[in-house]
Amino acid sequence: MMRPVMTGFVALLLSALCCLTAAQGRFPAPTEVRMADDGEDDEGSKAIVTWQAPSVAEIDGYMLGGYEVHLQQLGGLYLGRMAFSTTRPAKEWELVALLPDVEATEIQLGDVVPWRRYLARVTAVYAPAGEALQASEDDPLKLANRDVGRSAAAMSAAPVSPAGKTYNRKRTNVLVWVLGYSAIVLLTIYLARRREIYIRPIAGLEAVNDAIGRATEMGRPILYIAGLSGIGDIATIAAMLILGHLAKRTAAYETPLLVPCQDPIVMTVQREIVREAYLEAGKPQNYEPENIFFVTDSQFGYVAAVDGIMMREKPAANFYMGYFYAEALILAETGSASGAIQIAGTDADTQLPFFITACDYTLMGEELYAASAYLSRNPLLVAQLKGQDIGKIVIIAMLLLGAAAATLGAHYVDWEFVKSFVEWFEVQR
Amino acid sequence: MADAEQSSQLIILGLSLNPQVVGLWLQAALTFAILSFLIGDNPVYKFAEHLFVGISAGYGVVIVWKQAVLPLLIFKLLPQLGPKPDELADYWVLIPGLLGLMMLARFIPRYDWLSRYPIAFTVGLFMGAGIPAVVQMNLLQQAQATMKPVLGLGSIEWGLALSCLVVLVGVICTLTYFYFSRPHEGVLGVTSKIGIWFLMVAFGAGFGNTVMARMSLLIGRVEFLLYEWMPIVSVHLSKYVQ
Repeated sequence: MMRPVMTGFVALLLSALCCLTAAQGRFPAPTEVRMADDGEDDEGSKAIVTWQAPSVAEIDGYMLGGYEVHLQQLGGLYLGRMAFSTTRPAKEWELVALLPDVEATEIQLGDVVPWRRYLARVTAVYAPAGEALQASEDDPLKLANRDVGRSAAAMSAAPVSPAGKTYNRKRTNVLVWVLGYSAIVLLTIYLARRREIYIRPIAGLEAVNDAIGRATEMGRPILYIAGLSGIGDIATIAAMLILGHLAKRTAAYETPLLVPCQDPIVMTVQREIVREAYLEAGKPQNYEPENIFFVTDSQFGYVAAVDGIMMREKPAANFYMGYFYAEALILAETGSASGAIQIAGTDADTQLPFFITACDYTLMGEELYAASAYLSRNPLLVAQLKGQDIGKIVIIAMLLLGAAAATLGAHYVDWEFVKSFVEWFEVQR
Repeated sequence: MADAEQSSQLIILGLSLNPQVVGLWLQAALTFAILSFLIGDNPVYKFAEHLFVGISAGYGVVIVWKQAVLPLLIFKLLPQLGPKPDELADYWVLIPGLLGLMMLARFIPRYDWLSRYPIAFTVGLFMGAGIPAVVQMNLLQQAQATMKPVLGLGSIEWGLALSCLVVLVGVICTLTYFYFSRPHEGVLGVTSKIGIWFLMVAFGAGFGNTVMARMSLLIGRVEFLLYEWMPIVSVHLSKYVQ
C-alpha cells in the first residue's frame, strides 16, 4: 500500500522540479558575471559585480525587466588579511540588490566585510510585456510585481576578497601637513638646545602657584577636574600633563588633591600620573589613591556629585582643565559660590564664555596645550611650543595666499592654478 | 474589569494612585530636591544626588554590558549566542578583549603593572587616529573656509567679499593672540589685541545663545511642574477638601 503512494509522491516531486527547471530555463540568464574589488581608496568594504545582459530580452510575452544580485560568503578562519578560507559556504545566498533597470550591467556593493571571500550570482528578472519591474515600497529588495519570471542564476567564476588599500590618495594633503608640521617641531627641538626660548606670560598659569599656596595656607584640599572627555581627546591629555605638575607641588606642600573622575580609563591614567608625581616629589607615602576616584559616567550624575563635594569639602582651589560640555557653568557657578579660587582651561569654544564669567582665570584653547610647557619649562616642551608658533606663521601665510588666490580666481576665471591652490585644502570623503 | 484596574493601583495615604501618577510625584519630588541646592547643601539634595549617582552608575554598567561587551566581544566570538547565529566568528576581538581584561589587573596589586599596557595602547591609538582627524577638521576645512575672495571682483558681491575679509582678519589676528614665543608688543601686540576682541565678541554671542538654550531647559522643567504635576496636586487636594 505504502509503495505506490511513495512512488506517486516522488513522481510528483520530480515533475514539479522539472517544471521549475523548465520555467527557469525558459528565460535566458545573464552571462559573464564577474566580481571584483572596487579598486578605489577605501577600507575594503566595497566590491563591484558586473555582467552581460542576456542575448534575448523578450520571450513568451515576457520582457527583461531587471536583475537580482546575490552574494555568498565563504567559510574559514579570518584574521584580517590572513585568511584561511575554504570553498564551503559560510552562509546561504543573500539577496543584496534588486535592480529594476534593464540597462544595468554593473553594481557597486558597499556593505561587504573586508578580506572575506565572496561569490556573486546574478539572476535576470522578466515581467509581462508592457509591465515595468518595481521594488516594493516596504522592502527595496522585494519586487512589487506578482507575475515575474526568473532566469537561472549565473555565478561568478572565482571568489573575490575585497581588499583595503594601504594608502588613501584622497588624504595626501593631510599627510603633507602632518609631516611638514612634525618636521618644523623636530627642527625647533633640535635648535632649542642651543638657546633659551621665551614664552610670554599666561595669567591663568601664573595663578596656579598662588592657588596651591592658598589651599596650603587654608589647610583645605584642591579639586581637580580633567573634563568629561575620554583619554583620546587632546584636551584630556593636556589636562593630564597639568595634573602631573600640580600633583608634584601638592605633594611637596602636603596639600590634599581630590580628583573625581567621569571616565574609568582617565581615572586609571590620573592615578598613575599622581603616583609618579608624588614619587618625584619624594613623598610617595603621602599618595592616596582613593582621592582619585570614579564617580559615574553619567554627565549630570557626575555634576551633582562634584557639586556636593564642593559644598561639603570646601576646596580652596578648583581646577577645570580639559573638555567640557553643558556642565561647565553648573560646576563653575557652584565652585564660585563655595568661595574657591577657580582656574579653568578648555578648548571647548562653546563652554569658554561660562568659564570666563564664573572663574578667576581661564586658559583659552591653545593656552591649555601650552600649559605643560609653561609650567615645567622643560626644553623639549618649550621647543615644541616654538615649533607650533612657526606652524602658525605658515598657516597665516597659507591663509593670505589662499585668500589672494580665491580673489584672483574669481576675477580671472581661466587661471586654473590659483583655484587648484584653494582646492588642495579640500577634505575629500 | 473594575477590580483589575483597582489592583493595578497603589494605595497611598488613602488615595488610590496608578503607577503613572506615582512616577509624576517622584519626578516632581526629585526636581524640587535638586533645585533645593539653590538654598545650599542639605539632606534632601544629598539624597537626590546619591540616588542620581547610584542609578546612573548602575545604568552605565548595564549599558556597557548590553552595548559593548555582548555585541562587540561575546557575540563576535560566539555568534551562535547572538542575534546573527550564521555569522562567522571574528577572532580579532580577542585582542581588545585581552586588553580589557588586563585593565582589571589593577585589582591585584602584584600584577597591576599589566594595566599600563592597555592604557598605553589606548592613548597611543587615540592620539594616532586623532591627529589626521584634527588636521582635517580643525586645519584644512577651516583654512579652506577662510580662503574666500576678499574683493568684489568678477561675480563676487562687495557685501560678501567684505564679510569674507572680516573672517580672514579675525582668523589671522586670533592666531597671533596664540603666538607664545614672542612678547605681544608692536605689530604683534596690536593684532593680538584685535584677536582677543574677536574672541570676546564670539564668546558673547555663544554665551547668549547657550543661556537661551538653558532657559528652555528650565522652561521644560517648569512646564512639567505646572502642566503635568500641578493638575494631579489639585485633584488630590480637592479630594481632601471634600
